[in-house]
Amino acid sequence: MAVLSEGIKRIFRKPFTVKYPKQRPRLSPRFHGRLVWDKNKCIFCLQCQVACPNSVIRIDKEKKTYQADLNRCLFCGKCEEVCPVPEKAVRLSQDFELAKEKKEDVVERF
Amino acid sequence: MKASRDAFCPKSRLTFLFSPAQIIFMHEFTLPIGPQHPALAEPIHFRLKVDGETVVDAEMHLGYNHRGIEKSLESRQWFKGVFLSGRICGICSQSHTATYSQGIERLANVTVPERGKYARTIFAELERIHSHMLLLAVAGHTIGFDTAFHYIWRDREYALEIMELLSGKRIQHDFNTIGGVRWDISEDQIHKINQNLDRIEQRAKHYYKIFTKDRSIRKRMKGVGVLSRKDAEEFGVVGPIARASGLRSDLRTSGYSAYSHIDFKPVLGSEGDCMERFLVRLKELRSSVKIIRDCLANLPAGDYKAKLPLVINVDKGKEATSRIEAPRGELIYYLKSNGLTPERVKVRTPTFANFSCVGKILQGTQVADAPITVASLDPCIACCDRMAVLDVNTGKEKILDHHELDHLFGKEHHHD
Amino acid sequence: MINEIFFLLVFPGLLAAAFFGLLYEGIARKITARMQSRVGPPVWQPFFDWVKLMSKENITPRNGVGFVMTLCPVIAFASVLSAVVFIPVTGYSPASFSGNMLVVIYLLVIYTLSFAVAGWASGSPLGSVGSIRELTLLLSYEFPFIVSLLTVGFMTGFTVSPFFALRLPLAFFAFLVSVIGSLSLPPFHVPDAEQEIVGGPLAEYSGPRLGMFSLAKAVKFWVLISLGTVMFLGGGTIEWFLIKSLALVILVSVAKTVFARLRIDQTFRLFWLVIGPLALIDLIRVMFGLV
Repeated sequence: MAVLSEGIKRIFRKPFTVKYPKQRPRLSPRFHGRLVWDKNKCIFCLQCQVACPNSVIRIDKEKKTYQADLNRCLFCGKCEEVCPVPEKAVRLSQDFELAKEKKEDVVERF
Repeated sequence: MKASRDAFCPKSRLTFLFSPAQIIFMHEFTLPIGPQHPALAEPIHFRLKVDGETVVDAEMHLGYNHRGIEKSLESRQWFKGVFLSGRICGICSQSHTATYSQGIERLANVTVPERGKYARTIFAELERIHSHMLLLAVAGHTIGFDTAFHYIWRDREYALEIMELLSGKRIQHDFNTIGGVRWDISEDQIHKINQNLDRIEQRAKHYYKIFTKDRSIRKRMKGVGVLSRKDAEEFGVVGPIARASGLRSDLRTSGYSAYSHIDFKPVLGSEGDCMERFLVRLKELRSSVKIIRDCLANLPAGDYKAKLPLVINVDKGKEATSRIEAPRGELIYYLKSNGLTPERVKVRTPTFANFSCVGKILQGTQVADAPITVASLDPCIACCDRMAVLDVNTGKEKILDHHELDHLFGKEHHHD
Repeated sequence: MINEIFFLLVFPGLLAAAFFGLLYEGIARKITARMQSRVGPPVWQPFFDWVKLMSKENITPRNGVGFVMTLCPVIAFASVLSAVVFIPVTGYSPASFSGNMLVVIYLLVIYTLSFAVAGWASGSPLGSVGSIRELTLLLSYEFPFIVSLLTVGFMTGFTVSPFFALRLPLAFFAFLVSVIGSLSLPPFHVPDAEQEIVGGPLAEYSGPRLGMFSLAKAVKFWVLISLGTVMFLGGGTIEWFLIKSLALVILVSVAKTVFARLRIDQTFRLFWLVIGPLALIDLIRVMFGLV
């Protein structure tokens, strides 16, 4: 009968469901979202490309382009970890809404 | 699987009239469960030989979740391999990364700093909490008690919140690395963790009361699926199942990570039935909360990971084994080095060990009790599909070594 | 004449039975969800489900008998809808005669039988096991159901009765538990045990066949609740009738949320050893005039 009394109490409380997309979920500061690269901070040491477990990052030093294939990304944060720049040229943001309509668009080209 | 369908279903259009007779008067009738089945979160194929409503024998076919991870690990540098090992399983991800990292640390003679050890222990116990709560809720759902499922998963969110706070992710956290952990535990995080731990402990007490006192739960679980202590020893089961049958089998007493510094006693049961297995897990919830509190209170200062280069080179041919108490039992990794990458990684997951007793434990139970009995074994099929091949026809087991694997998979299937 | 047609087609006949039946189901799901701290589907969800099901394709499994699979939902729906005719909602029923309660009971049994045949006709072993469980469930709850109705029947005949719930509490309790069993709701939802036999008798059904079965189940909900309101809660005018029915629906919804599923042998034992005797006690009280 413990379940019964608890159940009746819960009818009158607010449900625990986060009514997404009207309500946004609370994320921790360390949340691993979409990979974001800042061109101005990057020193092109290529450490993130070496450290990536899944070869997600491709950097072109001459053309100064940075490409991240989010199809294969583990969102592990190793790239952010090894970046020698103190403010982190590459980091994982809090953006989790990554769905795109075409597969090619999932590759982030900076 | 196509052949099996014809074996069970009446062939002629009129035989539908005889199906009840088939079931009532024929002695044996094979009930297939899986690989696609609402009862199972993962694909596995059971064949229960049923006589009326009693299960006479059980056959198990694995392999639907095979992903060739042990082979993939052979072509990845050590630190990259840790990420892959964490993806063997979603529920016990931390156990895999911890065991693999521990194995590599033994190969490379790396010492983990004390703070790192404590952080690993905290996370391991958090994972134990979340895994046990997941299973308790799934057990409730299996006996038709959806309300218990929703209530327990709501409280599991407290554990997942802490994991997200510490590592940024809720499952497959990649928290461990070679030489320690990847992120530090800060002071304000400790306060939030303690808050959530209080809530988890309170709810664990509440669920213990419900599981022991609710009549409908007790009717479904008490006396069902009994595994005697002798059988448990013979079949070599590990983890909460062994402890519920009375075996004192808990790897944490061997003192890896920070367990040597903590006052810890394994939770033992005596009955060996389904109810006991779940009660052991409920008690372990409270024991894990206590361990985390102890660790947080005594968290040593210092580094949380050893200073290592990104790419490590270990002497070729060096071997190491690493064992850890995962939520489901003893997890073993065997590693053999090939310099920058492993030459062979062998994973023995606890679910694989526990599955050996399925036939015995299901004999004599009713069909209606089969799902809850299997659920009480806490099967994690993703962990299960490893490289052992069980030949159902002859019952012989064969372990594939890497020559045969090369032949099967072909080197060209793997890049980077 | 107009009265009869209104009764048969609008209230409490076809339209009201379907509408209120589906609505009660929606309310039950909403209450269960709120008790579990969830938002739950909107109250109109069963209507959407029915429309969606009716628009899908009928798939007959290779080993199923298509003709029987189509016939069973029709028989199920027809039997429960016919049962509506005999229940004196608001005190009047066009087919009232002295044996009307028996007819209602038999029609409800036909409904369950069509479920069982449906399970066997689908040609799947899971369906067969489900059918056997469904029939065992029928054997369990039928006795307390009949006995509890008999208690009221002996008091007043099968017309709208005054408020008997408190004078015949054991019979009322037995009636409610039988209703929960009759609708295959927890703790007696053994035939629908999705974890074990993937949906029971209806495992292989889809499309309009499943739609008609769901509608039949909804109408049965309406029939049983109306029966309870008329016999135990003293029918009354349409507004009072609906309010009392709603109270019964809420009671059933709360009960279905707080129990685990009992095994079929446990269900059988519970009904025959506990619920049945409770109803018998009240029957004896009525027969000896001790009410």
